[in-house]
Amino acid sequence: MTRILMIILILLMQSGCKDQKIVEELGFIHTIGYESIEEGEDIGKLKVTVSFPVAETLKQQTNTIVVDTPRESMIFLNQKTNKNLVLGQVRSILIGEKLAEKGVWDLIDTFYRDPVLRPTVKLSIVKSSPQQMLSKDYPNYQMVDTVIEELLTKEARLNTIPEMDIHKFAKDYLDDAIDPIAPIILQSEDGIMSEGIGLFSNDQLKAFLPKIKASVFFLLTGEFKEGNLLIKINKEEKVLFSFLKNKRSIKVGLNNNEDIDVNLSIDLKGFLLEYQGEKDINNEKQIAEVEGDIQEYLENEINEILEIMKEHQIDNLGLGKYIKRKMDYQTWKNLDWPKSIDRVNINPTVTVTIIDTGLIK
Amino acid sequence: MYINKNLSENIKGRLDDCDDLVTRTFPELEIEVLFFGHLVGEEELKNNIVQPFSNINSDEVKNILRRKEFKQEEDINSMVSGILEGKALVIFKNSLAYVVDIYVPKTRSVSAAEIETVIVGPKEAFIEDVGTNLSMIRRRIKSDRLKVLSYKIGTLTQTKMYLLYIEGITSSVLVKELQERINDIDIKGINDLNQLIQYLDRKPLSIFPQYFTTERPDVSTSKLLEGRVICLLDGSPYSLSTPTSFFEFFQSPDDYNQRWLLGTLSRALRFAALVITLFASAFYVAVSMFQYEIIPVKLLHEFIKSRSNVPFNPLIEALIIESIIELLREAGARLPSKIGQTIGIVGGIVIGTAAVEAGFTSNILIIVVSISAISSFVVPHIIMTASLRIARFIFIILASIAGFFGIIFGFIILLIHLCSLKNMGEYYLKPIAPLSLKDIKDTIIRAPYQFFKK
Repeated sequence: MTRILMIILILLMQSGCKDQKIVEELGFIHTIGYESIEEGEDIGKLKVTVSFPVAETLKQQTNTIVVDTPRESMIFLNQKTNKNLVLGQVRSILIGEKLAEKGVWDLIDTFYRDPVLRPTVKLSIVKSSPQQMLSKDYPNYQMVDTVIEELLTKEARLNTIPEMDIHKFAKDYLDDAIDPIAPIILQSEDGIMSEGIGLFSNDQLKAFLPKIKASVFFLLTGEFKEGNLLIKINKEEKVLFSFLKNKRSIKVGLNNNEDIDVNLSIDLKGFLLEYQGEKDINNEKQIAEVEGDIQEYLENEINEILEIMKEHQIDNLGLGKYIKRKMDYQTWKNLDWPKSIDRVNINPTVTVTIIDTGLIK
Repeated sequence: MYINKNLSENIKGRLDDCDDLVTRTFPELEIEVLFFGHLVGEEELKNNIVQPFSNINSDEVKNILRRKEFKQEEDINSMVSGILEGKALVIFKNSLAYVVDIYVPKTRSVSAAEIETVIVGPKEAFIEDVGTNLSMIRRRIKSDRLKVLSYKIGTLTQTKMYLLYIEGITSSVLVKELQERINDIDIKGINDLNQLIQYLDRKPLSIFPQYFTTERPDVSTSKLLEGRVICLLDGSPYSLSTPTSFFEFFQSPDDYNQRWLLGTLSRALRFAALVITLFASAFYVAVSMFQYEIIPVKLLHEFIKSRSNVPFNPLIEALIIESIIELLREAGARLPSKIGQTIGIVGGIVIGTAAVEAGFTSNILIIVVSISAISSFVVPHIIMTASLRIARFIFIILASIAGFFGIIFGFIILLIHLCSLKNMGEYYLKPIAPLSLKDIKDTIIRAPYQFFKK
């Protein structure tokens, strides 16, 4: 009995030994923004902006600090508020475009190592400054940080931007056969909007794909399951193509390890939602022509994307993964992917089948 | 043959100062009858003693004493204990003694079960008279293999106890072990079976009940058929069954009387209730003191809003509300049922609402504590409910020390304890630990009866 009492006594004395975090004393950071300072006396330093909701009033509060390293920012930010700021509820990280061009791995790494943060924290690139984006008063939004999070989730569901969290980013970064991507958001007059995707080389932002190209990019990754594509064949003809099935296949052919051929084929099945143009879409022959036009358009777009990738020597599609499977490790190492991407012949082929023209008459 | 010359005087001397002893004499027949008036039945007394001895000659007395209800007794001690057990002692010529059993216990009649109520199934419950209880079981099992062993417990109270088992199903080792434990009991007296259980206990420091008690004869019967031993004690409307498994306390006759799917689902509900009642309040404490990460952000806002006016830390807050619930429960149990309802209203509505409005506690905690209190009533056996209440407080304190780590720590200790508990040589967590897939059909699920066949 005394033994049990001793155990209970010892346990009760331990109650101060772990740092308690009593909820009402905490400020849960919802969004963190990082940007590099480009001018002035603090040039080269990091500007960190955090936004956290104040539960009592349901308003968000933002704090900004200029520091040298990401971690010390927490110490200084904590001094500016009555709440104890914690990272356990962070939902998205915003990175300024300029900072992203310099490289983001140091930032992601600090987050990725912290067990308090969930690995599904969303990552996005902001074209303007994250500080301005978070601290501006928007007439339509109550709390802009939740709006950003919901926008990213929704757009990812509709397949216009990738669902990019720090876990996925780290995975793509550490894999030598693929380069990461990240969604780009933009501050507009009356709110925020998504703007396509940014292509990274290692951890540096290199190129940018606007919205329509971003959708085509998704067709190539095979992640696009269902959705709409707006296709402007030429000035007069516009097609809103809604598709149900997307089959992507990548075939790699090797000739003496010198010439690498990649056949990228996409098989799309779907229906026309909207058609503006001269053709009579009730006529089967004309439909075949429309199909041809769409194919041509998509192939052009794909070639443009491939050009961008070749120009920057990056492989955000993960073609390297397929090539890696075909060769032994030493050859793969010697290939020095993705710098050798312009040595690869990539032949995109698109097959479009319109199975229904809807109720258009 | 030992014949006492002055038997009547001797016995009255033993029962000296017992003014409730009734003496009836038939002087012309030289017969004296001794008994306790309040233990015997009027009718029985009249039929067995008064009528036979009225209007007869002294020659016929011997014929009457040869009747089968008259049992000759030679030992004074057993004569006295016979009188104490409600028999009438007939003394003939002050030297020969006969006992006649005219004992009629004055108890209430069989009524519906009050604690272990069922929706479908037999309603009757055991009563305080052990003979009636035994008859309820005999009526259900008409077999010569149902064995009944009789014991007397208590040096003074001499309370009758029966030990029942079915030959061929129950292992004889088990019966022997229990017999030994019963013989080891050395007490002056006993009032209830639930006291007896504590004397039989080999792990008195455990918070868990180690013997299964029920007030339902149908449950006792099914325990017998499963190969368990059951005990009945005079004066106690309960039966005890052993060996006991943890999962028995989560079974209700309803599971068996209703269709198997419903039985399985309601059992699942009870295990869910077990988890809720053990961990709900501890979860609240852990979340609000340590692991805020795990709740969705929108709920977190409500959480903080309701917590922001509370001056206490979450542990104190939880302990206050849990203690209020315990007060209400205890008050409700002690009060007559009509006033008990008032307690419910005062406690539930007035204190609940007022405590939140006064900034005493957060309303989320009120919800959590009420849900865990309701869940504790879902467990069909009151004794198990009480054990879980104690465990709940331990979990709350552990949660306040180290959050979820503390809860898991406590849970592991609890599991180790449950796994190490043994009752009459059987593990308490059987058939989960040690695992026996064959017997799992009737623990967490209740499989259709067709699967029970071997």
